[in-house]
Amino acid sequence: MATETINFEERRVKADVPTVVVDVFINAMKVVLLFFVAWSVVGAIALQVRGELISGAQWRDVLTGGIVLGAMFGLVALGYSMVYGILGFINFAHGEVFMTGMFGAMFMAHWTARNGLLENATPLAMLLIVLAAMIVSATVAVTVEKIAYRPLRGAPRLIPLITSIGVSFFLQYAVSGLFGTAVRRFPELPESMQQRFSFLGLLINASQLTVFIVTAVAVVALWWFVTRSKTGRAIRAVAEDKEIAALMGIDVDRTIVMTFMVGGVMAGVSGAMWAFLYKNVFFLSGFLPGIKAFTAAVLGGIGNLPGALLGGMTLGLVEAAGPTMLTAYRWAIPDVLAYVVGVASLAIAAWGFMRLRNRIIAQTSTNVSMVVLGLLFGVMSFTVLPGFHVTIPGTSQLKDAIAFIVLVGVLMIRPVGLLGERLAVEERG
Amino acid sequence: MDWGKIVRQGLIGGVALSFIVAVGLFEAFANRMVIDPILTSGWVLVLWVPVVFGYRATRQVVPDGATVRAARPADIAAGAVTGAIAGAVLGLLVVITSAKPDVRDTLLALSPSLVQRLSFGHSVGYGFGVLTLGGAILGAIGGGIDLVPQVVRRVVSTVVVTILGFAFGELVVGDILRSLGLRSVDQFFYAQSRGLKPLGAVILAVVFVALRFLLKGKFKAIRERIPLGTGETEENRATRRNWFLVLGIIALAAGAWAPNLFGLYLNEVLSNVGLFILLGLGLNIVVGFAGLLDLGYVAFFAVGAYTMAIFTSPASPAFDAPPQWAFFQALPLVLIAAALAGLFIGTPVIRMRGDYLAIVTLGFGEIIRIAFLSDWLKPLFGGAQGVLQAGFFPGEQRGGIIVQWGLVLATIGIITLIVGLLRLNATRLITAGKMSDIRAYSQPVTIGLLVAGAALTIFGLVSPGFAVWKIYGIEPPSMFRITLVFVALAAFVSWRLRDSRVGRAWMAIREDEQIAQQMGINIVTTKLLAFVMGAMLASLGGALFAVKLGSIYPHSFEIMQSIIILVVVIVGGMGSIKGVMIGALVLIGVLGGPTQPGLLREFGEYKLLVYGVLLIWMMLKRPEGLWPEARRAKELHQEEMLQDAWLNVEPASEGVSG
Amino acid sequence: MAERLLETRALAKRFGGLNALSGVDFHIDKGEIVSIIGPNGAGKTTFFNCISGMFAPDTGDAIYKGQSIAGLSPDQITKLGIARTFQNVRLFPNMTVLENVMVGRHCRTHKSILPTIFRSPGFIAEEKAIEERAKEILSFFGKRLHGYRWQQPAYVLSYANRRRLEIARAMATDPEVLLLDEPTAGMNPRESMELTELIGQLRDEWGYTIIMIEHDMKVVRDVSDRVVVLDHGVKLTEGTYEEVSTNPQVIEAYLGKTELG
Repeated sequence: MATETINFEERRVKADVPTVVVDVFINAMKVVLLFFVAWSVVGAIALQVRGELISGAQWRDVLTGGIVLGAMFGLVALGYSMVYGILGFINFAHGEVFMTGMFGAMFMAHWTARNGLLENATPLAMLLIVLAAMIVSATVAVTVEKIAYRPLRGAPRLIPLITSIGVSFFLQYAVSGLFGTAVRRFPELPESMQQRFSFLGLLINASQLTVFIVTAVAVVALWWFVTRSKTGRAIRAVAEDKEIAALMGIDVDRTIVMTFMVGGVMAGVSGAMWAFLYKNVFFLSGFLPGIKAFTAAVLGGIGNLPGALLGGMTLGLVEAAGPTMLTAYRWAIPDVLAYVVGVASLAIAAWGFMRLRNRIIAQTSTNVSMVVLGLLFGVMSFTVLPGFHVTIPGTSQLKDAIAFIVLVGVLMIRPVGLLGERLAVEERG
Repeated sequence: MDWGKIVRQGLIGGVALSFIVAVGLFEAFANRMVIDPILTSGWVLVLWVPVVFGYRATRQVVPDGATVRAARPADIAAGAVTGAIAGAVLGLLVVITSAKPDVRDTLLALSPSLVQRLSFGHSVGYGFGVLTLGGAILGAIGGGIDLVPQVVRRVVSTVVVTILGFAFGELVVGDILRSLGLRSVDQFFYAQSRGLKPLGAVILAVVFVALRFLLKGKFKAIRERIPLGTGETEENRATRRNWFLVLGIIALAAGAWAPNLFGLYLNEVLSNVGLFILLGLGLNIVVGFAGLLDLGYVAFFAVGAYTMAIFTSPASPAFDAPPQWAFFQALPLVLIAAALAGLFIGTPVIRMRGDYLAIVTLGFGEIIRIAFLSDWLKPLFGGAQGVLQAGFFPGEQRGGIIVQWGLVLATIGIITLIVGLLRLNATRLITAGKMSDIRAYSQPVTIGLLVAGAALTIFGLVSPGFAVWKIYGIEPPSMFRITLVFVALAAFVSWRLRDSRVGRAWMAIREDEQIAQQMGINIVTTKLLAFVMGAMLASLGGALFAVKLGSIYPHSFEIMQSIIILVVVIVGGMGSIKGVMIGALVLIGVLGGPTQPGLLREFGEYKLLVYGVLLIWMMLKRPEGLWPEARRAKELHQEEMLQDAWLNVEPASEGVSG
Repeated sequence: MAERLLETRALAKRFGGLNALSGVDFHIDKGEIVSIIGPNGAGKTTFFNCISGMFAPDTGDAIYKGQSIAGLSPDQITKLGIARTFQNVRLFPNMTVLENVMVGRHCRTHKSILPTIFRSPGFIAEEKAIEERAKEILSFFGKRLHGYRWQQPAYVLSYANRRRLEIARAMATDPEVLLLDEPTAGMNPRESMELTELIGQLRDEWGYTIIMIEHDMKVVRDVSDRVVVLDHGVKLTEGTYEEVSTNPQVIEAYLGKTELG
């Protein structure tokens, strides 16, 4: 019939040029990213050895700051991770749930400050503050689930995501309308909370220690809840496979509500700690930490609860150390190192060239990348790189960008995260 | 009566009422009159609540999800109770507020003036009573809505729409009347406070009710008389194309003329609308056509604005001797920069899952903003101070765009030449038998095109500046007109791409990426193409934005921008060109852009709250948008339905099914 | 002997701990119709996925006209001339019937942005050709996907028509090898019979070489030149329908399903 006009002989297997170009570009981005990470790490170590970076005490501060920040990211990340694991969408509004927790904590703190509890019975006041934040966040999370997400079960993936962006906006500006756009401050802490003392070899102040202890308690409680309680088991079953779980007599809707509640509680704890530590609370406070916490969840492996905590810690440390690490680019790359890199690159290029000659079309992208990037780095190593250095002023401004670059980098280099992702059966693939 | 439901709906209604009041919307609109002494728009914002919840409380839901309502007189009572509860909750809020004034420290909107307003100048007890009673009356209306005859409902809805429309559209109507020299008419209908006068409201309501009943069915008759054709024959398509073209030209002409009717403020609003249509059309290609949820779209807008600013500004931070190019000189560079940015951002995200793509593009958007803001790149982009004097004319303290008509003619000439040459080539190929004879290309027309094209090109290039249109960025009418040109261009490009091989590939990727790839579509290049097209349209918007404002700051390019453009596209209807246009007109026109005010200036920052609600509501109720692309064939055919029904009874085929 | 069109050598694919395919050798000559049968989970669809590029096989090779295609992307493979349908019918539901088929023409056409925007004569000719070819293919299914149906969105189609449309979409890519994954699943006996006839025509009139996964033994018997039996990712046996259906191993694999044949 119409097949006569088709020339089947022309159909030879050949590499698709645009795809190869795109792949090479992606590989180049990965390599460049890794190169810069390596450079800043090696540079930081070298400068540190020469005593030109920052002092040991400063490092200790960076470290404690990073761990505490990471603990809070981790708690928020749990909420993202659990919801993604079960429902397969990014609950964009989770950052705002976290923010409402801050407000709950802040108002409760003012109340305790007014009637003297904060000064006289600090542990009780702290408990009340954390409880208030937990209740507020959990209520908001569950309400949002009920109104905005439940009707969307089974909708295409992007629909609930867009909805959650709407929810995020709504919550932000509802809070700004209700409580004002101005930054509100957490009340002044009693003296006892401002002491500094040594803990596990780190110089830490009492409020940081409080944050760490509260987080640890929350994590242990969560771990107990998820592994030991009946509801926790139901949550894990639903996260594994909703249909089978329903067949086993688990109320899926209720379990999802519980998931949002647990996520909300964790965000609330984190929000209380955040407000407590950084003092300033306003309606946009949840947005950036929220996205960073999502980054942490992806970094650890989405759907993976230990992963969320690990991701949070990693991100916290990276963000705390990031500005310092960026200054390490002022370390000039030594000639010898550059030449070593150059020779290695040329070797990779040669290897890629050998592989290219095998003419396995499916490997074209990798092989071309090896050749191109190998040559590029090889040439650069003998020309530009020796002695190359960059001085970046105002590195602390770039702190947020570091978190986003981590996100992009993780998704490019290892999209399943550090500990691997765990998704419900329906959401895989 | 279902008491549980009534109490529940009443309480939810009460919470809704209290929220609207406590969030400050009621107060924000308290001084905007609808009917001058009688009704403020603040009240309009709360009055609908008891009606809706009264209706909801009496609605019966039959199991399969359809709603069936048998109207019963008891519904009125049920509705009244619901409304009363809702009103009482608000009343309680008023009582509490007046009893404990320090509530205000937490909830800022609960001010003494609010208590005063909600207790109608009397005691709070009086206020509580009136609010409850008012709630009951409105709730009763909601509950009994199905008991009144349809005619009455039509009259009421027409009255409500007319009065609200004219009250909120005061600016538009007033401007038009004034520009037509009918100031007295304006003063007859509108009070000093911009609300309608009571008499004016009555007259308008009567006129529009009358019009509605007189014109009933007339529009449909007119539309049916237009021979659009129903089938998908070549002839019908040509007819439709011609009508489309005629309508498009009329719309363009009307748009270009419209600024004459309006005052400065409205023109400003209009030029913002134009800008957002442009941005929306660009995002529509990415989100609507190809289904890639790009949340960092503002990055391309920023790249466009910054490129334009850096190359046109005499105070450009990037150069020691700023090039100070004119708008159209820098424009190609803007497009190239945007395309490169599109490739740069698009490439790494292209293989990611849809939702990761959304977050990563958002990340890129922020990275680019942070980069523009940083001290590190300050020597290039000016850091937090941004780039000043973008597009300033040499030797003048303001800037804009210079259109040299000669060059416009030359451009048209070159396009005409290309069209002519293509036709010539086609004729040659057809005669050589290398292309199927799809259309008879008449030789004289081809020659005419070639001659005209050559003439225009030569004339344009010989005297490029024989006539010049100097547009100042601070002149909204001219900016609107030039924006309109770009919008027309963007709409044209979108339209042509949609109905083509590329457009179908985008649609296929949107529907099912895996299958699209299996059907031989190279998803990498196809998606990148969407990204780049979207980026280029956004950069056009950015370029216009730069010369319009004359100064570019990083804070103009926050995530909020991306989200609002997304709302415009979603509310209009993803993938619908006309939807994006109407969506931008309504949303940006009425509510305003992220930093630009719209018709209802009172919304202030509450518009972002409204945008959030709209996004949620659209996703829950109408994910396809309010003005989706008309499906060319909607009707389900019975035969197919029956076959499906048969399948449900017996889904498996016979034979071995292992 | 006819031209060897497609061949797999020791094709293997693992998912976690499961050997979905372990060392499958398979070949098909030009103009053949080969059916692949086997119980559920035998790896039939995985086999299709490995040939069509949806998965890259772990080891082994797929050779199409003497060229290795293992690890190529699905679009490259479709472009080479191997098109497929899916077990769980996957159309583009919101696109019209005609558009669904026109998408299939994508890989055989090439007009990009500029001609599209300017509606160059070449573009118009190409669009026209795409549309005509799509209509020609749809008319292969008689009245079922004809006329007013062209403009209907795919989601309104009946199940059987969806299957037909999926075949039409695959045909639009001008394949040499057509992979049909359970083409008659969900059809009533009359419809399956009709489709069986069409499959014969696809080979005889359109010149396709067809590999088909099928559960309906009547269909298998009526159209196949050769039957390959897979079980647990291993090729159990192959031969004519009669040979296979009397093979004790095959009967054992289908144990309990004595209605075989």
